[in-house]
Parts: sequence; C-alpha cells; structure tokens
Amino acid sequence: MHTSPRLKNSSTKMISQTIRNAAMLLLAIAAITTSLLWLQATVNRRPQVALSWLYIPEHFDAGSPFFALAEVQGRGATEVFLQLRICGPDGTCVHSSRQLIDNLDEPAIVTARRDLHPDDYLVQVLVQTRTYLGVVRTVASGEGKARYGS
Amino acid sequence: MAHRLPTLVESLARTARLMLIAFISLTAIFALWWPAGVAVLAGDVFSSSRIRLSTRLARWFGVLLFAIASVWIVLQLPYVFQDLVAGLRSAGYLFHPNALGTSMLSSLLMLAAVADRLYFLRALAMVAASIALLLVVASGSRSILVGLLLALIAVVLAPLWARGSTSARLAVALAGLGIMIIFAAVQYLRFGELGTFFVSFERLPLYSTALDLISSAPLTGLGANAWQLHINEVEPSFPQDHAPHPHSVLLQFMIEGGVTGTVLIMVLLANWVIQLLRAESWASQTFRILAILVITALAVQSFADVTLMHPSSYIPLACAAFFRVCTGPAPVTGEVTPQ
Repeated sequence: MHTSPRLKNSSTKMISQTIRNAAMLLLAIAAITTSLLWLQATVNRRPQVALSWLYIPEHFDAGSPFFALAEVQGRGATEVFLQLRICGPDGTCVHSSRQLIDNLDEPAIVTARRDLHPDDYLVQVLVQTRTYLGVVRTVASGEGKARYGS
Repeated sequence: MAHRLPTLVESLARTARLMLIAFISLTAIFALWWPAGVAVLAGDVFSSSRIRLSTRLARWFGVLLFAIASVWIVLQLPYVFQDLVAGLRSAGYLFHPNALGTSMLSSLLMLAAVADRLYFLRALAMVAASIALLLVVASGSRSILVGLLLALIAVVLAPLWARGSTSARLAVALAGLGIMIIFAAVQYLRFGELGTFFVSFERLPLYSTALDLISSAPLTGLGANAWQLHINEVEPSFPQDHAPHPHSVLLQFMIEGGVTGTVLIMVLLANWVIQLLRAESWASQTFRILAILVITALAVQSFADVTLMHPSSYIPLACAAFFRVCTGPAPVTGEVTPQ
C-alpha cells in the first residue's frame, strides 16, 4: 500500500514527539523522586538512639499497670521519650503517654494503666526523639509478649 | 475541518495518557493498582471526546443539576445555623467542616457552569452562590481561606486571563476580599486571636510520617489504602484512628501511586483544566474567572486536606465539567456574551 510522504512525515513527527515527551516525563519523575528522597533525608533527620537493654514482665495482674524497664544510649539527642504500645490478638493497639527520660545511660521505667480484658498482649517499648523540625518520631523499639489478668 | 498543531501540554498529555495506562497495568500485577489513576484517565479520555447533548436534553439536564445543587446548599442551612449559634465551626450535613467548605465551592462552580449556559437561571444562581459562599465562611476552613487568598492574587495578577474585562476581575477580587474579611472577623470574634489562623502546624507530624512512607516506594507507590495499611510500620506510635489519611491529596497520590503515578495524573489534570478553560472562549468572563478562583482554591486546599476526594466535593465538580463538555460551544438559550 502506498503511503503519501506527507502522512509518513506526520506520523514520524508524532512518534518522535511522543518519544521526546516520554523522555521529558521520565526526567521529571527522576528529578522529583531524587528531590523527594533528599527532602525526606533532610527534614526527617533525627539523632540515633538505641536500646541497651529492655525488661518486660511476662505477666501483669488485672488492674495493675503495664510497665517496662529500659536503658537507652545515644548521642546528640536533647530529648528522648519512652512510650508503651500494647496490642491485642485482634491487632488493635493502645498507647501510653510519652515519658521523657531524664538521664540517658540510666535505667528508666515506662508505665501505662489501661482497662483491658484478660488475654495475651504484645507489649512494645518505643524509643523516640525529636527530628530537627521538632516532630517526635520512633527511632528504636523492643517488644515482648505478656499475659494480662488471670 | 481545520487542524491545528497540539500545544506542549496537549502532546505531553497524550504521552502521559499512554504511560498511565502502562503504569496502571504494570502495577496491577503487584496489586498496586489504584482507582484514582483510572478515574482521572477516564475523565481525561471523556473530556477529549466529542460527545454533545441535544439542546433540549442539555436544558433539562442543566435544570436538574441546578436544582440538585441548590437543594444541597439550602439543606445545609438549618444545621449550619444551629452550629453557629453554639459557636462551632459547622460541618452542615457532612462529616467535617472542611468537607462542607469544599462541597460548597464545588456546588458553586456547578451552579455557575449551568447558569452560564441557561441564562434564565442567572438571578437564582447568584442567590444560591451567595449562600454557598456564606457556608464556606461558616465552615471556618483555614486551607480554603489560604486557597482563596492565593486564587485572588492569581485572578488579579495572572496574565492568562488578562484580556478579560477589568470590572469582572475587580468584582470577583472584591467578593473574595469581602469573604476573607468576614472570615477573619468571625475567627477573631470566636477565638479572640488570629495566631492559628493561617498555618496548621498540627499537620507537620503527618507530613513527616508521610514522607517516610513515600520514600519506602517512591517510584511505584504502595497501592490503594496504603496509609491505613502501612503507617504503623514506619511510625508505630502514630494514632491511626485520629488521622486516617495523610491530610493532603498530593501526598495521598504519592503514597498510593508513587511519583510516577502522581506526575502522570497531574499532567492529565492540568491538561483537563487548561482544555476546559481555553475551550470556554465562548463562556462569559465572570464564569471563567469564577472557575479559575474555585479551581485554584480547591487545588491549594487539597495540599492540606483530602476532602476533595469525598463524593460531596468531586461529584459536583465532575457534573460541572461533564455539563460544560456535553453542551458544546453554543449557548442553550438567551444571548451570546460578547467577547
């Protein structure tokens, strides 16, 4: 079948235009992705703190508070918090309030009193610091299973 | 039929359409398919088609849309009045005051879109639009306020519509300024200060966490409902019940569809808006400026919230666009506005 040079020319033009546009879009995607990763690394920069050791009891009496003992180590952190996260078998979780650690490198205790029905719970200890923009974020965690109630 | 060369945005949109189809197909293999992409694609394909309603059908359809929007706006009044008496930001019939704000702006655009074609509805449209604007004020949405402020600056300064009549631009600018003065006065009388008026710092922890979530899959995103499914993996202390979404349409797109999906969708949305505004050269200047004002305010608001993704906001917008596209260039009744 004969194709007129004009049509051939216009379809070639369209293909080259599509390739050029696709390249532009890919370039934009690459640039935005790189900027976003840089932004995330910069904005969410936070002092690194680690758990040295952690103790979570295996059983809590009904009505008594949940607690955990932890020691954290880290440098450059002006504020370090501990928070308990208690998750039931159905996956729903409750949080304690954040507790500021007075002295790093000394054992600290975090507690939570919650009205829960007797069952096995996953007790997590979250170690948190502030990012350079002042947002509190979790930097380390430890966990243990505990029976609550009878 | 005379052909014209496609503009840069049009040819980019053509490529973005193809790429988005490929992206949705590829990510579907990994269950990362997301409805937003398909919805935008469908809207884009539809708006570029040449479907036209007959004059009679367009008239009935327009009257129906107009009646629905008016009833929806008026129905909010008793609840809003009740909330205002109690000194609260009002959500009307909806779940959140911000949703009332975006829904009222979208409904306002729907009214204007119909009244710009069916001239006999103009007086009624002005009454309903005024009530809708007052309800936007009653919703007390800070993001909409900032959106309106930026939109106002855009309307007054941008060269895109500089050829329009000065009086129409001035009228819209004054109306917007009036809304903001009323809004600020209400805020001041209620709280006695304007400190928390412009900036929502409570969004910072959400955005910080959202950035971490995006960076875990920046190119493809994590798929539909990713916020609910994965937020506690990046931040275990996050109170999911209190923040069930990232409070930004842009971040929601990035989390679910990655940078790839977001860029492609943004190109298609930009094309859609530009096509609609440019093809509306037969529309009155007032409608065009109003459309720019509402679209800009909603776009800015969507940086700080996701209420635009609620049916009460996007359905009126979709109906307005559908009506404009389907009724074509000729006015259904009445005189043609001189350009």
